[in-house]
Amino acid sequence: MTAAMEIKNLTKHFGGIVAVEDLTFDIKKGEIMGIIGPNGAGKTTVFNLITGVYKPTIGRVIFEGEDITGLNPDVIVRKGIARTFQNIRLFKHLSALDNVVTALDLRYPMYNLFEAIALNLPYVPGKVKRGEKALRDKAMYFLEMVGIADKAQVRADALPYGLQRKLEIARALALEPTLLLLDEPAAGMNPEESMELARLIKQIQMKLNLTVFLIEHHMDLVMELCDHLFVVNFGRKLAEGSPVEIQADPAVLKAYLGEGYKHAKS
Amino acid sequence: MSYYVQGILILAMYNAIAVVGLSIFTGFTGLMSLGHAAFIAIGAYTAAICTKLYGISFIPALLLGGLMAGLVSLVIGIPTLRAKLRSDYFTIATLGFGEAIRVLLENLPITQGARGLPGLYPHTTFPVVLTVFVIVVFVCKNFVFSRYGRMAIAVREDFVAAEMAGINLFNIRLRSLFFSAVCAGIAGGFQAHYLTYIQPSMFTGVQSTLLTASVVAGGMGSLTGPIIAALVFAAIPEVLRVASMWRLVAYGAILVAIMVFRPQGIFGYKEFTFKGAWHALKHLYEKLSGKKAAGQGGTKA
Amino acid sequence: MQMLMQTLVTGLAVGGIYALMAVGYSLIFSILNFSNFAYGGIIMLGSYMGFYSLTLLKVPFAAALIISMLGAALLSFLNERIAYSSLRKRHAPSLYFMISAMGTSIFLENMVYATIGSDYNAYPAIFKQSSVSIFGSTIGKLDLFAIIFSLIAIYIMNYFIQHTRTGIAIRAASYDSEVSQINGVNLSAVIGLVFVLAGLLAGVSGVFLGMKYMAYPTMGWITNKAYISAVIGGLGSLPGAVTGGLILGVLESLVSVYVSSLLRDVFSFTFLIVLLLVMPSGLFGKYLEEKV
Repeated sequence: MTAAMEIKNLTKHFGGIVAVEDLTFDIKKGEIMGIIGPNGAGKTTVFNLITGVYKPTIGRVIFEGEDITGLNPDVIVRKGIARTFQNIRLFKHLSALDNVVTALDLRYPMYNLFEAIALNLPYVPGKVKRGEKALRDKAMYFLEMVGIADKAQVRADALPYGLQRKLEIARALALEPTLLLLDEPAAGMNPEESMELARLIKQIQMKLNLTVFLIEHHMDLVMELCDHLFVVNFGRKLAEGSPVEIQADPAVLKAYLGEGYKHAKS
Repeated sequence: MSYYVQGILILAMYNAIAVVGLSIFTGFTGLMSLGHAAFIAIGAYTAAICTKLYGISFIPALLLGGLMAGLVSLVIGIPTLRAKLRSDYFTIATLGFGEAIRVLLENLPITQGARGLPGLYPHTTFPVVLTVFVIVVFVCKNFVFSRYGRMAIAVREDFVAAEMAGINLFNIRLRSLFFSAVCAGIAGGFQAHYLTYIQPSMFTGVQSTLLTASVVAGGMGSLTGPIIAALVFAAIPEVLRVASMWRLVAYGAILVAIMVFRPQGIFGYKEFTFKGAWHALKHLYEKLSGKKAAGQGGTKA
Repeated sequence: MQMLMQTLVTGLAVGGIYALMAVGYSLIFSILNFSNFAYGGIIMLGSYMGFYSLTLLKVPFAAALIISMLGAALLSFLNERIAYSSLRKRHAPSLYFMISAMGTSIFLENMVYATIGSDYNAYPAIFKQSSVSIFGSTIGKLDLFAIIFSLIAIYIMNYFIQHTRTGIAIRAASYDSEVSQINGVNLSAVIGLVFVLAGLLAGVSGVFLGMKYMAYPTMGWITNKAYISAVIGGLGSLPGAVTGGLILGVLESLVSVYVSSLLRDVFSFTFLIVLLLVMPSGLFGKYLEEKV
């Protein structure tokens, strides 16, 4: 099984603060990998380092054999990585549909600037209008995939919280990534909602043949979904292994899960 | 139409050309510039020098003015936008740029210093301005409602997310800047040949701020709003004949008031459409007659 | 060599005032993370207050200075409450803050224009044009006083911020406003206090600027120099602001004397732009990253 992503000695310092220190792990192609750890352990920083928001102080990020360390986010996205955000970052004043259409532009640029401004006459059909319609249709496909097609025209900030999270996922999927990074996709959801989300993620992963890397605190979701787990604490690696192994790891239990955790995946 | 009304409309329209261009940059791409008066100045001086010193006819001179302003915007834009400066650093840089241009204009021989360039032929006539105004609005509308407008809006809404959606921040910001500078330059050419003289003192930081004020008051994320605001701001001093300093006092207070009470301005994030106007009137009627009005989400595109 | 010394000394004198403005500006920047474009207006009003204290009320210099310091502090506080506090509570984007600041600046400047008039007001000569010799160069007594007073004021401010409880609260809030609130810091009060402190500095700057040059409605634009100084030293850093101010003063002086005094401002702005490109965090800038 080839590695979709290799992280080597990833380290990030902010002035005097060490956010992550010497992290090394692989994400295998086609698997769902989770990264867990207490708050402030550096998980989102890892995402930011992978996606080019921050440049690592030391270390490399290799994606499908190519070194993408320190590249700009929009370049990295083009190579096939997409993400969602811990604090939802939708385009608030745009409709749900337009949020997705904006992302579709990456893979489907339908016309150029000259055509846009000079060759688009009102009430006259043309390349621009056809292109826009095609994009809208395609966007609906992604909205349907996450189950919010009926809310297509609703302004993003008017959507209920859970649907906003789903919209972010739809937007990320529209970038047609091979690696999908989800930052706490189930945050703020109750157990039913997060189980439903887990099923959705699994479904999408299989349908689109994705590799998924996710940060989560909802242990049920993590244990249910993930093939492999990486545990961090204070920016350093604490443990790595399958969910079953991690549940039993004493260091992890002590730092994070607490003594009373009873859920066991068979 | 009397000359008087025509005059106001001419003033209002070329002002609106600059404002609608700036609204693409500030209202849709989300960057504040306090130096756009410099682009108006560059357009004005280029056009004036072309017609006065080189005998070039008006329309080409006007376009050259716009182009020159656009090119200069690339000179300042490429280094500052590429460097991913935080928004207030960028604004300070535009402030500096605006002042630097003004000082340069006061000191270069070809621009005749602080005296300026008098004796320009009044080429700016109502039909010409109207035509160009319509074309500019048409182009802006097409820009905004195209994939480029979407990119700009995404960058304004959340540039981190926009980048993560594959949008190259530098490209769209530079394009917006170039576009807004060209519009400002064309407005400058009109201004020069309407007032028939230009001086560096016409193009100060205050002018730049007032342009931004029109965009903000009209509503960011809208084209209609800033156009209306530009028309209103240009017409008011003529109509009311109030001393210009009190007008500025009012503008300052209005800016603060808008930010505090209604940051979306008049038309924020919406455009004028007949359907929209009908809905707005219906909404207003329902509210006034005491019926409970259902919440609506405005959508773009 | 003699001319070089003189140029440097003159530069330091102006730089002292720039430093004073830059510190006030940096103070606000480091807390609210935004550029208070209205600061120039506050300085301008401080200058006018000093002027009228001396000419109308005919109080001694020290009293005039205190009046303008307190007056500017009050105005600065009101500025925050009226123009920024509701934006802060709404977590408005920084663009809105900047617009509100510019609006305040225009309002103040033109209010003075419209009510008092556009005249340039000359301060009565407190220091009687006399000068003092230092290292063989002459420096006006006024300039000497200004630079010494600036350095003392900045030193006191710095001490306050570094070593008092309130000062620590301010620094905590500037690093992480939410966390500091959890730890019992009253954010609104701290922010109000910061603006008051900046206002005190603005009052002093206004008086010195008025004495050195004159008091006039558009003098607020000189705060451009404060921005540049603060950027040189690193936005958010107080020692940086001081250093930046002094450096800018000296550089401008050198350009004025050895190149051309007309191009002095063009130089300053070009320098700013180059600086923002090459070294945006300045000399001592805090590491400011967008939280994702």
